[in-house]
Amino acid sequence: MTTPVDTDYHRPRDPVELWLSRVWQDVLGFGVGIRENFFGIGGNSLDAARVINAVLTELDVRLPLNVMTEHPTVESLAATLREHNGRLAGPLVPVQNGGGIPLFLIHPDDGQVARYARLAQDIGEDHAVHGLQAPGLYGDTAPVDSVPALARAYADEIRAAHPSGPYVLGGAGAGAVIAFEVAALLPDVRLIADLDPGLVEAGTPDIADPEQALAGWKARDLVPSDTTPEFVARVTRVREALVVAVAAWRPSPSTAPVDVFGETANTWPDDVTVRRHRAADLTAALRTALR
Amino acid sequence: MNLPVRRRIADIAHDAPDRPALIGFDADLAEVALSWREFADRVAEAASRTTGPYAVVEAANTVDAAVAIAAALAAEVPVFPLDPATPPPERDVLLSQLKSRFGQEDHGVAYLLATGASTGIPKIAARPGPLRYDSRRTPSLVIRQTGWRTGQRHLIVGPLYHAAPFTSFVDAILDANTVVLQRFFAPQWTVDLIREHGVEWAQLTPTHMREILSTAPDPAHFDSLRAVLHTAAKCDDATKRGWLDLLGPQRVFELYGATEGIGVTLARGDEWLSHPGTVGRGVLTRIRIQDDTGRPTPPGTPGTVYLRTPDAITRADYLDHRTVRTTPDGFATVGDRGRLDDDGYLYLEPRAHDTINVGGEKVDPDEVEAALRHHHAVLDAVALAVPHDTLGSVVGVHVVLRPDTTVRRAELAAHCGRLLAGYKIPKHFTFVDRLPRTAAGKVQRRRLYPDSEGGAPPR
Repeated sequence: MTTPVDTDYHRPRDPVELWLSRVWQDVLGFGVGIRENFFGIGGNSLDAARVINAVLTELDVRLPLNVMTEHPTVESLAATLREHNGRLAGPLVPVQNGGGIPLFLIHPDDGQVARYARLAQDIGEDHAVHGLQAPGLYGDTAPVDSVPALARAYADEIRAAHPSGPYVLGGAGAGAVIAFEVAALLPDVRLIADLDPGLVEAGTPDIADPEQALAGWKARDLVPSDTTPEFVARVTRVREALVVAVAAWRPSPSTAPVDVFGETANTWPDDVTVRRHRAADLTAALRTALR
Repeated sequence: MNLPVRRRIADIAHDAPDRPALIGFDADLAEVALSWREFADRVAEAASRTTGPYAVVEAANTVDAAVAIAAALAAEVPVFPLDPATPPPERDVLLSQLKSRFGQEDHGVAYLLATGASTGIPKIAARPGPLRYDSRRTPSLVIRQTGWRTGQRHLIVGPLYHAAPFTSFVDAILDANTVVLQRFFAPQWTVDLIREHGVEWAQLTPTHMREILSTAPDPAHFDSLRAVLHTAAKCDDATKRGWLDLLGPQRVFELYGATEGIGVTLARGDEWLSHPGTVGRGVLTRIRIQDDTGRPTPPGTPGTVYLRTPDAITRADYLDHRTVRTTPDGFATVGDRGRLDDDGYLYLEPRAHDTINVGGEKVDPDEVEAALRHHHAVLDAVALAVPHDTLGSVVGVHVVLRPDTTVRRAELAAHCGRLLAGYKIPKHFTFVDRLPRTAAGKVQRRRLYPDSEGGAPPR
């Protein structure tokens, strides 16, 4: 059992923040939270130029040369690039650069993946972690209400990024169910992790009033401060589609075991081996599986 | 002819009132230009308000900082250009050194410069003063040999709190230049400024040169340039040859000389091509290589580089009363090692000690290690140079954490950033169980090879 000694990490909250955090990770050589000051953690003007160049290459946005002085945190710079979330709509969204057996984490019931960034840090800053983000949150795609359809789409994305295994899959809530079906479509899956929603802050509460829901999410730092009620409506539609999808889910015949970490609400078929772990063992078990 | 700074600036403004003196950029990167008339007025006004015993100027590359520096020189108050980003602990050390040495009026000093010298611990070097304009000696004969012309358009890329950009700025205003001040370095911007302002002369570091080359610039954009002078860190072959191709060998000059002003060598591009790797021959400077027993070595044999210049009057002494090492017959060294060839060309060798050179900035590994050990998660740490393809090297650390503790690398970096200047913040963190130490407790750095695990790959 190890004790983290700092509490200053603030995770990214949307695709642009997630993407910028990875660009910083590339440039600086280590993972960062969204409120760390670029120059305060060793970034210099050459590094800043690399960030600006990555924004130009990937997002086709020409930022002024001094933008990093004006916006020295991921949070602040992301706010100027938020309109580009649609270009980063996924489904495959890299969460953390690195090596090892890649970990693919499928969105929980609200469709978002940035919450997996903290888990990625805890597993180790040098492991590759990808998220699969639900259609319908950003950009023009519509929500999908079928587990097999989502699983096929995600398996195709995963194969395109990593044509051969081994793979480690997981998710919280609906994400674990979809991961189980994705595993049936991929060779050499080492682990299917069903994660306690509490481990990945997956509990964006479903509140009928969008304004009230939004205020609560902002207070809990789950979404950027400029998030609009329109986004709440999108999340609500995605959540409804996933509830329908999971309710209609008929498990495919599969003998792959499922590893359950902590308390989860998913019901697994009787013929599937379910291994139960304490929630606190999650990062250690993932580290072992990723080795 | 020997003129006070105030008088010289007034004379230039009188002769060419409308010619631009300074072109800088504000926080929004909008251009700010001062004519010589405006510059002289602002300097005179600021000088009247500048009182001793010394003036500390937050020396960002801005028109305001440039005016403040010129005003202090005009008022004959010793001026210290300070890196605005200096963190409080380092600032305290520097300012207390200043205070103890300059408690009262002292007109024997023109300016003061922070120098890492060979140890990486901040020190202050003083240039005797007051400064005078002498048409035969401003700028020095050495600089005159690098294509410098009176009244030229001159680009300053490096920060004004560094010795080389600072002294070339001082020469520039005394020699009626139009100075273009690049607020911070971005390679494409440097190229654009040269083209847009018809820049004739610029001094660059090897890091600037590497970054500019990496933008694959069009040689035509450098047509206005009479010369580029480079100094500071040793320039690698590929970068040097890249610039010799870009400008032609007649327009590239390399100068070796310490902040302390003990002597200087100069190599023009064509000399470098016929003596690859050289930092040049002495200019008004005699070079002697001595072995560890103090005996001069023959050509080809490496040793400590000693220089002697008749211009000893301008030699700076350290404020903390440590001086450069000197010999009874007037040679002095800052501790660099090198050798001479049969033609008298000097070649430098890598430094013998553990100082980490980050793009020309010297970092003392002890200082980085001490900062890391100050963090409550860290039991032990060692810092060492990790190769980097544009900066030459960056700081890498091997860290032993306290038992049952984890810490994010970014947290350690932020912790160092609160105590140290930005370039000293480690870029590579490797967590290890123990460090190789000798029985006496000294870290065997040689047994720690640069390790990219967990850090950015060496570039």
